[in-house]
Amino acid sequence: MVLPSVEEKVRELCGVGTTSMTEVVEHLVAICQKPINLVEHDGEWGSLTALKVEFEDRINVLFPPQNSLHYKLHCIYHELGHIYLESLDLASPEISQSLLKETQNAISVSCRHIEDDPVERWVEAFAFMMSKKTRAHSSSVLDPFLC
Amino acid sequence: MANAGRSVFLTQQEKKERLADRMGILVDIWESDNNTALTFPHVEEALSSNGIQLSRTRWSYLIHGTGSLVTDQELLKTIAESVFGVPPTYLTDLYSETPPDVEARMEFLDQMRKLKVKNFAARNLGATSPEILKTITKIIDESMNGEK
Repeated sequence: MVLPSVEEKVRELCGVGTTSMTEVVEHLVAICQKPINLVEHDGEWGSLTALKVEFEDRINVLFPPQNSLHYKLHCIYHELGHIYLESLDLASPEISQSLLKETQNAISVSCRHIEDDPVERWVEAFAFMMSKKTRAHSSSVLDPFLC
Repeated sequence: MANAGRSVFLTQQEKKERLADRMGILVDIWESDNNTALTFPHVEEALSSNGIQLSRTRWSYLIHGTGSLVTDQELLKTIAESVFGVPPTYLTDLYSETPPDVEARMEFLDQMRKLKVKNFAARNLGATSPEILKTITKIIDESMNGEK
């Protein structure tokens, strides 16, 4: 799998200017054709900072309460990066993606250390870029997510 | 998962079935990790880079538990280590215990299927340990209770 340029894909998703998380989620909902719920979840998280869980009819992004709003933003964008990247369908034709999807009970699980994997590094770069664009958002109307 | 004790004698047929069962578990974990089907060309490539040749027919015997029992220790060791990254004894010694990591991954996949999760990703700052897999299951389970 050849990963595309992060800059290019960020531009395609939300243009060159600033953005808000609400706008990004709206774009991704349109791409994925299913609701995306951002859910803060209290409890024991260990070394995990966020999860993306996809069901048949919805995608939940779960994250722990964080003191730092910026870090929380980054962790959520990391998971949104996974959603975006998966929507791009980058698998090469010789890889039987469709074969797996047709397999009963097929499930995809990604829980790699963020530094060990090219996909994880891609979504980390996506998260850095998106967090920067969101922080620079100059709208006087607060992002509902950030309230 | 029940592990056979050394006192239980396995027939040739049972050995073939147990090997196929273990291969099936490893393939399931590999496919969920890689989000794609494990194909023979991938296996062939991984083995040939270690100087091991495997025919498609023999691969089929291994996966389906048919044909003759595959007993080639070097082949089984290389499949375990190079393709699946698990201790070789899991495939070379059919009486051996299931490695804790494999056991944890199997349970995790079972739980995700029960929760009807199709696709899952975690941002993890540490190693993927059995404890982390249990934490993930707990978080997803609890968050779903909140949806009801």
